[in-house]
Amino acid sequence: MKKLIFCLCLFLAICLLPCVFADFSDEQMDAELNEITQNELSNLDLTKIDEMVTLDDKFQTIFKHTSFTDKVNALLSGESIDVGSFLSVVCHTFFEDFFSLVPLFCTIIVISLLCGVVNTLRSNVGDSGVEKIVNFVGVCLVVVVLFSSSLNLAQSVGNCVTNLKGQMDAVFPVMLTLVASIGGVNSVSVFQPLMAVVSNVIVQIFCYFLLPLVFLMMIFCVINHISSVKLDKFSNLFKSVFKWGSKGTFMLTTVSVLVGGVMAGSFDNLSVKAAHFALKSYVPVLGGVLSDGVNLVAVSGMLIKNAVGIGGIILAVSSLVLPIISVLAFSLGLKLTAAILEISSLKVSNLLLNLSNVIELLITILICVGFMYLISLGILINTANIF
Amino acid sequence: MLMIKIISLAFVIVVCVIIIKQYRPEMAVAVEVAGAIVLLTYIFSLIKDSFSFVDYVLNTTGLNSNLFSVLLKIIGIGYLTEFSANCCVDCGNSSVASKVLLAGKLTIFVLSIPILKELLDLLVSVMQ
Repeated sequence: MKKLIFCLCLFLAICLLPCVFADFSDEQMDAELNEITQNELSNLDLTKIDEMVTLDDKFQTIFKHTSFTDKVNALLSGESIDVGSFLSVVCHTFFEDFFSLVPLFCTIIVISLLCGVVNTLRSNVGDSGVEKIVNFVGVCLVVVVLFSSSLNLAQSVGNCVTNLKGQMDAVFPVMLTLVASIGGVNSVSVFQPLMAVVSNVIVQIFCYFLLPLVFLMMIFCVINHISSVKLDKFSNLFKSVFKWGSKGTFMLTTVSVLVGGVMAGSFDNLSVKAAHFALKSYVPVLGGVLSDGVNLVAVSGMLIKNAVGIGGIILAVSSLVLPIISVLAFSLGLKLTAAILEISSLKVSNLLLNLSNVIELLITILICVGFMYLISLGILINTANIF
Repeated sequence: MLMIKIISLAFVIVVCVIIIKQYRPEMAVAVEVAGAIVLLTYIFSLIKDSFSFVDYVLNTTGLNSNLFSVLLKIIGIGYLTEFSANCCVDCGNSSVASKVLLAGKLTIFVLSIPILKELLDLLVSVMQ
């Protein structure tokens, strides 16, 4: 009986030997890895992230795919990021946005010049006040023309932040599942609450506290320039609240994500390596084969995780770039108009300059939220990269 | 050429007023005002050509023509108010001048109500 079992074992070992050697052949290994990766990818539910991909022309020029699944597949097959076309889209969008705003700035210049004509009115009645009232109406008209555009811009920034939150809600669960699937259990337990905080609390702070603060600063800026009432102190108060609020939130989130990620990542590396060692050393005969098989599955999971992460980063950058460029073009246009009007109407010039400074705070909001998201994704990509 | 006409007319009016003041001082004011009105008609013929420029500005900038016409009206009223007030002061009627100024300011205020309303609507929409 013992002889029979020994012979059976020997037969099995001889039969499996070519398979073991075949596993080490590169081509077969690649084919097997591809098959496992495709299988895992087809089982992954990316529909929520797919919904985040818009079919807007500019977005498509940067993102280059109509669905997130296609993007992940392309990244897995070795598609590289085309920096040249990205930069050309950025430049093209900037100039397009800037030139589309030229009529608005021409309007402001014309209104200011027409009101400046009234400054030549000199009464021999003394200070008649007609000049002042005409100038007041002129500044009000400039504000009306300018404010609707500023408001649209601020709303587009708000939409972008909401869109980023949607992306976080869709990408983080998939990423955490993939991290857990390749053995990053500690990382997941650390990241899960952190990601919930980032996607809910932090984004809510930016969306419902800091963005309305920018609206308020815009209103105070307008009031400062159209009336004799000066609300500089209020403006400065809101500015410092915004500054400290955004800096504090950004610092706290980034530090906690970084520290948590590094700590949990090192624990995961240790436990996964220990599991591999145990599998290889303590399982007789088949230990090496099993360990290689586990390696293959884990590597395919890691590839998918990294591809989903990089796809998420590209998706976030594609959504972020366009509003940032619009705000930059608007702010630059305001500064240029302010410079032109400095000679004819100092009041309107100061209004435009201050408004452009307030509008630049919208970029701070976008960059803070975007950076927090990208850092979190980056940490998740680097987590559990054991092999 | 038009400017030379206007300057010549102004000189003629001044000479007429000086001469009439010596014989019939009560008629001098009437002559002065009549001369100013004639001058104004010449000035309006100068402005008439610039209306095409206003159209060009409106087409180029895409500015709301209602708001732009309100602004032009306000500027015009400002000029007319100042001109009339100055005429009244020249005639020695400062109290009438102040009434004209008051009327001008009120008219400008009434005309600027749509602009102020739009501004208020924008601010309210921001607050909401």
